[in-house]
Amino acid sequence: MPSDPLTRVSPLTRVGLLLLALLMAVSLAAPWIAPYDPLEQIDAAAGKHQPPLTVMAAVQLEHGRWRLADRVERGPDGVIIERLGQRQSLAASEVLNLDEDGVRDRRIFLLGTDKFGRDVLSRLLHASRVSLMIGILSVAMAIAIGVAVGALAALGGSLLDGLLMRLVDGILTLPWIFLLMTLTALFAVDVWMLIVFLGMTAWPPICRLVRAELLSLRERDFVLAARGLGLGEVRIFFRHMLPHALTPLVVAATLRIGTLILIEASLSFLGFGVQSPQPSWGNMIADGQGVLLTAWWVAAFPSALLVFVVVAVNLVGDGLRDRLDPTLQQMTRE
Amino acid sequence: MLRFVLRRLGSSVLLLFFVLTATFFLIHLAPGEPLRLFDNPRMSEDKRDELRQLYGLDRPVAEQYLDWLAAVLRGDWGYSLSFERPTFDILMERLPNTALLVLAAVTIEHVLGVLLGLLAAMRAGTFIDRQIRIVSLLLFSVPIFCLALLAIELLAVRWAIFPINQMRSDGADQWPPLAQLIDLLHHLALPSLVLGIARCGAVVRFVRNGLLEVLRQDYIRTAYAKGLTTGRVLCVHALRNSLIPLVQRFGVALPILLSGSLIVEVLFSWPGLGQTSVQAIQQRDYPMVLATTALSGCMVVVGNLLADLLQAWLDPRVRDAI
Repeated sequence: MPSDPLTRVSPLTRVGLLLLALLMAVSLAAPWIAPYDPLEQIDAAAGKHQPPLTVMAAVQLEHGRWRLADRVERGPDGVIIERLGQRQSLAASEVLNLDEDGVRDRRIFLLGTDKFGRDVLSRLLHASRVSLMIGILSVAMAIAIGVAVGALAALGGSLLDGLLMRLVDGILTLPWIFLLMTLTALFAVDVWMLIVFLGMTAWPPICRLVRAELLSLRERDFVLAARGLGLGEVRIFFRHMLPHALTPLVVAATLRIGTLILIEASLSFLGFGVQSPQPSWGNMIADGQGVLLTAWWVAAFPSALLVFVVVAVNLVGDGLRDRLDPTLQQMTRE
Repeated sequence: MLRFVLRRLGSSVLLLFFVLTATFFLIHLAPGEPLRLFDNPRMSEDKRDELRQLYGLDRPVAEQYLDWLAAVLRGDWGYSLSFERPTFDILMERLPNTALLVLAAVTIEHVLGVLLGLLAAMRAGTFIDRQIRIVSLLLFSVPIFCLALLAIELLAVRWAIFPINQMRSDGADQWPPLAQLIDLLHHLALPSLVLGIARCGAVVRFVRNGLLEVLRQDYIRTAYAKGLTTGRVLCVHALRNSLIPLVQRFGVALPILLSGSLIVEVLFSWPGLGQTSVQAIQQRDYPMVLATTALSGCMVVVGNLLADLLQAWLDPRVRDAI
């Protein structure tokens, strides 16, 4: 294994990795950098489907109600608000956030608003947080199960091996989209439950890979030597065998993140994954369904981000594989 | 060959059993009652008990399981709550629709994928190769519903080239057979193209990489040495061998194919299995949910079996290995 695989990968892979890291940092910081609350619907009627770069004045009324307006001026006895060319005056006593020229608050919708007048940018940031977290954590869970079961199968004798591999075959045959839909409808599903379900369906390919690696490693001289030195099986497994199986594992796990993000997006799009109003890429795209040409920003931004992340993950996975596996690299270069 | 077929048949039966069992228990062991069937607050306690008795939910799970399994083997898949008909009849109506959509999409996927993959491999390392790889990576990464939404919005709504309402035009059953066929193909075109194109990216990568690997082998060098043209070596000698793993890939990718067709069916209101399943879940039609999930599992097992047998028939190395 190369001492530091990342310093030797292609520039494209490194760019992909950098952008992914950046996106991850941004989405982790979503609660602090999102301009508004992703669930905030202060004036659904006026704020509905506003295009990107819209600035609206936000008039605070009593009982926590708000009005959005194109322009607000001070009038003789309060404010005059203008919305779609219609002017309406409100008494000063009704408006809570008055200042000299109008009202103190405004909303800047950088990426526009959805059908409830919610800020797309804020929702997008929170959605990235949820979607990336689901992708990464469910792959982590798949790796944990896959490595454990794969090690048991490879090192636990032929009977156990046969049994576990039949189980893996079985799980690979399960029509997981039907099951996932049913399960998410059965459980009052939250994000953590979704991660568990996705992790439980995603581990068999990783298990197969780990088992195959370990089976070939088991016969290698250095493992025999370690056993000859009197090292315990557990120590041999963790210190000597697992590190060698790490390379293909990293590649497979990276590519798997892309797949799981897509699966989560599909489920959420169909209404079975992350539940509205909590934003995720999938359900944001579903919100844009039917208004693709008139309010394109609702679906376009989450789609673009989703495609970007999956492409980046695939590029990084391919790049790592080309770098870490010389036989494949030779093949693609020819 | 016979031994291979028998072995594969045996393991398929076991897999079928596993799929049915897993489906049943995953749905039954979930907390609360199946699909929150009894969530309706206006339902009286007596009515609830009656329903529980009707679906056998008052008995031990093991007993329910054995009954269900026996019934499934008899072809009695339960009675749908929302359709108010036996689920098996509904499934048998919908299955051909899904099969039609999937077959059309798989054909498009493979024809397109093999052609582009062949082109990329022939021009490996050139501009064309790079473009094809970028396009296939993009197709591989774009979720199917984004592609479908775009296709519907542009081709069906704005320019109205394709219809999106179900499988047939209204009143089409009065038309002459040829007109009916054309109408069906017209309705089939967009969903199958979307599904096929969305999936062909993976085939392109698969064919390209497989071809490049085959091209390094000795028998290809021999073919060149015999003085054959590049086109003949590629299309006749190399392509045939690199296509065999594609058959196996098809079997492995079946669950993904079904999930893609589910999304396409929902978006194009195509009356297939996937759409039925989504409706059943939304309407808390628990016997229907169980039946669609079990049937889709059976489809994967049978599809896998067919792919394996086809592969063994094409490639003697596979059947001799077992």
